[in-house]
Formats: sequence, structure tokens, C-alpha cells
Amino acid sequence: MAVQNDSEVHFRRVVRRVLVSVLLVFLFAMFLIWRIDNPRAERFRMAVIDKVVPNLEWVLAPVAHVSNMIADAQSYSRIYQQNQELRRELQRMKQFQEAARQLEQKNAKLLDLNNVQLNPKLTYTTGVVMTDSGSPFRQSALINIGRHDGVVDGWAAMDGLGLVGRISGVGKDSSRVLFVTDSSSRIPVEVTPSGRKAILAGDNTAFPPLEFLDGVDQVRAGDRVFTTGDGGVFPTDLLVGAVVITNDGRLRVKLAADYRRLEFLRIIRHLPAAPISEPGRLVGPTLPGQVQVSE
Amino acid sequence: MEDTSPLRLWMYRLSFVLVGMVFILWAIIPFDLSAGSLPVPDIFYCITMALIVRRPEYVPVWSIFAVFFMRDILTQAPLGLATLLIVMGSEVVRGNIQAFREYIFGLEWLWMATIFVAVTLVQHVLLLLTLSSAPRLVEQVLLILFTVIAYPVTVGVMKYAMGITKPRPGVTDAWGKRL
Repeated sequence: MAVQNDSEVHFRRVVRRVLVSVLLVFLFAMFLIWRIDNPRAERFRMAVIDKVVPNLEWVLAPVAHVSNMIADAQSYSRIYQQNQELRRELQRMKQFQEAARQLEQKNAKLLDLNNVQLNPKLTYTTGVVMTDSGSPFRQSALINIGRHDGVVDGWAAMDGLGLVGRISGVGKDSSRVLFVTDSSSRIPVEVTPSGRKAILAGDNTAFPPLEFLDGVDQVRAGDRVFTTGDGGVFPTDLLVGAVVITNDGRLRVKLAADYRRLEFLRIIRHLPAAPISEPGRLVGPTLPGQVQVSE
Repeated sequence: MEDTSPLRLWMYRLSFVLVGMVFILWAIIPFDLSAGSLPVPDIFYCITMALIVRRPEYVPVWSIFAVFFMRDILTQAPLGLATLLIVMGSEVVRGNIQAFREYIFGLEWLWMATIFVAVTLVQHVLLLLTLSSAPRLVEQVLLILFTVIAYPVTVGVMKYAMGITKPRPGVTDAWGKRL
């Protein structure tokens, strides 16, 4: 074939330059839209992920499975040591079990005496972790249940034991769980037994710090941290972890959830109780013909 | 003599995109979900940049856009920001391709490192300016360090395992254009 003549080459170069400029403008506009109208951009992202990721599960699942098998095989090598550890732990657990049983009975009797109404029982649905965020700068995971299964933005996600994060972004068949370790995660918590309130602020480390804690001197290392219902976002009394004090004196939380081996997540169904806004409605239903007292 | 038929060209273009998807998938497979792990070098950036110097026709700007934009979407990154800067960086290299071909490897390495530093820092500054949450600078510096170290390794693998080197002068493609 012949070598192209100069004007044609020049023309192609100009066209290319224009197209690349359009592309760059488009990308910059995309970033601005993401920044200005974040919820809409994240919905777009979630829609794309919802289309792409479930179709890739046949690749993702086996690889993750094999890596788990390798990790398990490594743990066989120190099976004797583990056995010893487990025996010791079991001994301690029996002690706790006995104590817990006694407390449970005592508690039941006291509640019965007082006729106390506790929180409504929480129900949950379970999802499988499909992917993580793929970057050490962002802490989140994608699970395989979404709007189809009734998942709603803001619900809490737990592993068997402790709080993992909350739903942030729901697609048709998938939803994103933002971990409490992510730097944009803020969760109201309570430190027991002192009952001090604080905000658990993620900062991309494994031990997120407690911020805005009132009464620092009353909090000790090892105190347990639970969620509070403040703001109506979260169910109360989910275990988060235990307080640790770092060398520089900051209070951080050792999370109860085991992030290294997250496979299944429990999504806590949470419908906040109807807020009481008018004092007049508190006492009984409105009777027909009754005049509402308003101020 | 190298095979430069159009079929082969499109095969290479396709495999560039596929390799990109494999890297994204590898990143989002949930191996370990705990926070505070070290950043992973951006090997796909190294592959892209090394290929632009060696075989620019395998990596048209559209493939770079498609793969990196997909990565932005799937890894929860700010939409389009990293893609924008990497496409700009790749265009800088493409525009000065003759110069890059004549550089000794050390100089090429230095340039690629400089571009990656610029990409990461501009990204950081833009995130701060728009009051978005930016990753900590320490982690960014580690990412830069690892990626810079990964560049010669990537080029070595390309050269010795796949035989992709800078084209010799005078080699032409199927249309008689100089490579």
C-alpha cells in the first residue's frame, strides 16, 4: 500500500486532537458531577456495578475460594498449637457460660418483675461478599443482595459477632457495605459501663479512633463499645468492639468483627420507630368529635 | 521481520483491554478486608506507559479510557479523576514518542516516575480543593514508591518474556506507516 500523503496525515492528527480534547472534557465533567451531585453519580456507579459484577461471579468465586483453601492449609501446620489454645479458651468459656446462665435467669426475673418493654426483636438477612473496594484507600465491600431483597440504604451490617459497617448504595441485585474503618464512616457509639457517648470515626486503619468523647478519664482500655440509636439511623446495642489506648494516648476501638475472613454479612433489618412529634397525640387515640388542643 | 498484520494488531488491542480487566478483577477479589494494608503498586499504569513507548498502536487512547474508567467505577474511586490524569499523562508520552524512544532506559524510568508523581499529586490536590475525602499522604507516597520500583520489572518482563522491545528503525506496519 502507498504511504499516505501529508494533508491526510495532518487531517487525521487534527481530528484525533479534537476527539481527545472532548474525552478529557468529558472526564473532567464526570469528576465535577461526581463531586457536585454525589448521590446521583453513586447511583450511576451502582447501576453499572449491578450490571457487571454479578456476571463475573464465576471468575471471582473460585479464585477467592482457592485462596481461602490455601490459608486453611497453612493453618494445619500449626494445628497442635491451636489445639492447646482452644483447650485453654474452652476452659475459660465454660466459666463464662455458667456466669452468663445465672445472669440470664436473674435478668429474666427482674424484667418480669418490672414489666419492661425491650426493643423490638431485630431480624436480619444474610448476604455473601462478592468483591471488596480494590484499593487500600477505601474500605467497602459489595454483597449479593440488593433492592430485590428489600435492602435499604443505612441498614447495619454485622458478621456473626460485631458491627462491620452500613449499607451505602443499593443496586437491584447487589449493594455496597461501607466499613466502619473507611475514612468517610461516622457512627454514634456508647462506651460501657461508663455510658459515655462518642463518634466512631473511620480513618483507613484497622483501629478506628473515638472522637468527641465526653469524659475521657472515665473510659478505660477494654471497655466495650456499642452502637447507639442516635440520629435514628442504627439499631441500638450492636457490639462494635473494645477500647484500646495507643502509645500516644488516643482512644481507639479494636473491632469485634473479623475483617480478615469476611464471607457472609448479616444485614440487620431496621425500621426506626415512628417519631413522636406532637404532644397531644401521646395520650390515647383521637375520639370522633374531640377538639384537638393546639398551641 | 515482525508480523504487523491488522488482525494481529486488533488481537493485541483486545488483549490489552483484557489484561486491564484481569488486573481490576484481581484487585476487587475479597482476599482480606481488613483496613490498614499496604498499597499495591499500580502495575497496569506501568504496562500502559511502557507499551505506549514500545507499541503505541496497541494502546489507543480509547482503550486506556475504557479500562481506567472501568477501574474508577469498580474500585469506588472518584469518577473519572484518575482516568483524566492518566489519559493526559499518556498523551504527553505519545506526543513526544520519538524522544522517548531515543532515551536510555534510566531516563525513560525517571520520566515515567515523574508523570506518576504528577498524576498522584494533582489527584490529591484536586480532592482537597473540592473538599472530598483524600487518602493520607503517607499511603500515597508508598504507592508512588512501589509503582516506581515496579516499572523496570514490568519492562523487563515485557522484554524477556514477551519479546516486546522498542521497534528498530525502518519497521513498518501493514499500511506502510512507520511504527
